[in-house]
Amino acid sequence: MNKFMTTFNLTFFSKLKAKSFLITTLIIIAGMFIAFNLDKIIGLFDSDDEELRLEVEADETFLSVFEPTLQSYDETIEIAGEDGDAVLDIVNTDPLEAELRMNEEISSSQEESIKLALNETNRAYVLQTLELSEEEISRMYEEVPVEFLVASDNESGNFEAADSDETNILNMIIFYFSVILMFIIILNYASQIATEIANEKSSRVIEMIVSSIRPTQHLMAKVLAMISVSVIQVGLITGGGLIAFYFSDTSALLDQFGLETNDQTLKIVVYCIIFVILGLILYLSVAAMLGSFINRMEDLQQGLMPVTFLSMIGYFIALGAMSFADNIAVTITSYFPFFTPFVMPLRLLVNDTGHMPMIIGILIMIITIIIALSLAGFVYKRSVLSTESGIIKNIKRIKK
Amino acid sequence: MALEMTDLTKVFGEQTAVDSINIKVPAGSMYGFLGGNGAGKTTTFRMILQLLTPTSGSILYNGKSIGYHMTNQIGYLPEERGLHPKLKVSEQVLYLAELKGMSKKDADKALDYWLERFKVTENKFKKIEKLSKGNQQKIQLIASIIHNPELIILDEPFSGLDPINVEILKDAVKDLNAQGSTIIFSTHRMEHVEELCEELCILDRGKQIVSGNIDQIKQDFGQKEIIIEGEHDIAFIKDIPGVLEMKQIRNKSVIKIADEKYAEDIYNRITDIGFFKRFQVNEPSLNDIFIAKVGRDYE
Repeated sequence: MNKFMTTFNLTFFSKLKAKSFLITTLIIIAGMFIAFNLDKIIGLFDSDDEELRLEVEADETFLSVFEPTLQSYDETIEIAGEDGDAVLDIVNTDPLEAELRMNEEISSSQEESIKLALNETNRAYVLQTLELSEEEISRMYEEVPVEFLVASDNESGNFEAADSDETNILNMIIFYFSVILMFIIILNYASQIATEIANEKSSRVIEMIVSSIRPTQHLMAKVLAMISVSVIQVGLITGGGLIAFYFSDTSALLDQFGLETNDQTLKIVVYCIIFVILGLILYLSVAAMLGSFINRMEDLQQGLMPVTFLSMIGYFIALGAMSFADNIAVTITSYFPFFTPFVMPLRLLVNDTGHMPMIIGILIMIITIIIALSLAGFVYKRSVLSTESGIIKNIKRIKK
Repeated sequence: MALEMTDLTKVFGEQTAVDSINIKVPAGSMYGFLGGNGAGKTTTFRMILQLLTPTSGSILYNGKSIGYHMTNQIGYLPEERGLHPKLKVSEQVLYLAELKGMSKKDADKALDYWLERFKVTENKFKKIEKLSKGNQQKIQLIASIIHNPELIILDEPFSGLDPINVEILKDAVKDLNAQGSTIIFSTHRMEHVEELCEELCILDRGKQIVSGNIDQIKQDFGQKEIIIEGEHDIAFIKDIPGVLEMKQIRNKSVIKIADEKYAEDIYNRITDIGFFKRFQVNEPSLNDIFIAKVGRDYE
């Protein structure tokens, strides 16, 4: 066990102290801080939001409707009695026509606000001329209730309410975040772990190492160290993301996108975390096995192709199958171990998938991880001292 | 007996790399494995270290099967040199020492001693890729002996080193042996074995040609070499019974005889002719033994 920890510590701390680890983590966290505070950052450089003093040439009645409406659209515009930066001349009120004369150009958002306020005022004028009561006006704005029904499964001819397809946006963000993060980390660490193993083999120091520690023990220590580093990075990025989210203007964001938790959110968070970790372990174990076949660094990318392709397919299924997530093809792919970590949380997101498929998915992944790790150990033990140049030659040699 | 190999065989596909060798390495001895490329030296070492599983036969160390439970007692310098290029010397050596069960503190102390001894103290915190090839070799040797092992296996330790470093290394190996370590090393240079070892084994294409105590091997071999230097014509010697071969280069003759007992007769015959500057009876060289056993020149 001590020898296991010796190899684990060397790999773990050298990776953790590596500049590449620190720089990529910081860049991603900084990127998230920027993304979450983009509105503030744009605001810093946006000179268009300067106060605009608007002089309105219209009668009192018009002003009494127009002024509060404009204020509700844009607080940067102030109605001035005289000496305004711009003059809004109401040429005609029926139909409403206006002219805006400016000393210098105003921002497009302010232009838009004035337009909207004018439209709103016009609507109020028209309603007024129709002499509708308040009740009639509010009825006009009422939403029409529509009930969506589908035929029930039994043959009684009855209908029942259709499932709402509306997806909770917060849950969707959590899902996308986990899938994208997992994909990036897999690509990054799969290449790192294969490089690490191939490098050690090609430098021949491995012969001294495996004369002191069992090859499989050495490999497992390395794989576990890399997985730990990757999980720490996922943790740091997620933590950084949450802090960035917390410090950003969250209430505005929540209002704007309707981000609110529902009864599925906790379930999605928990399963996303589980599948991200299992996905990383699975792909890194396979990368370790593929790295064991490689003796020359030139063969590295070729050797890693299966990991790249499989993770890419899983990633695109997860991102692309959003609108038809209850399709049978998605259900089937969610049980294929290499796609499970990407596709299984998707099923949870769009329909009422219960715990059972998730647990089956987790079990499938655990079994596959055990097989992948055993295979990696088997291959590593047999190819550790091999100097065969090609991957195919190496496979043939191992099969002997 | 420290290490005992019985009928040890390793077959790769259709090729027999090591063919039923029987070797006994006495505890505390310096044992040489001599052989050219493809003789089976590295394969034998890898089997001793459990890096390869023997096809048949057994290896016992102090009467017990070798396994990973005793790797801390063994030091190994592989033929193919290489260290982690991106690690610093201290990081690399301390890691390998810890794998051999040493504490970091003890390993660091031992590292300082060996760096001093090999005159490379300034490299302790340098990255390995910045070191010259010779210095990398020294660091690798330090890594293989730092834990003061009972059994040290050195695969071609002198190859690639300049003569000065070969001498530094030889001294270190002799010292380790004097302190009680059993040392096995392989080489394709006969003079290294003759200089350092009391025991040896000559391998050729996987087969064990001869093994045991060098003096005994030479004694048992019987053949001797006589060198005669003088002005007189001694061509008649080649017809004397017991003379196997005679080479003449100007006034120096090198004669191979089947046994030491024929030397006296030859001596008596030439002293009758007149004065000779030199009459010397030599032990056979390892090359002579190799040629006699294999039927061709070594390498």
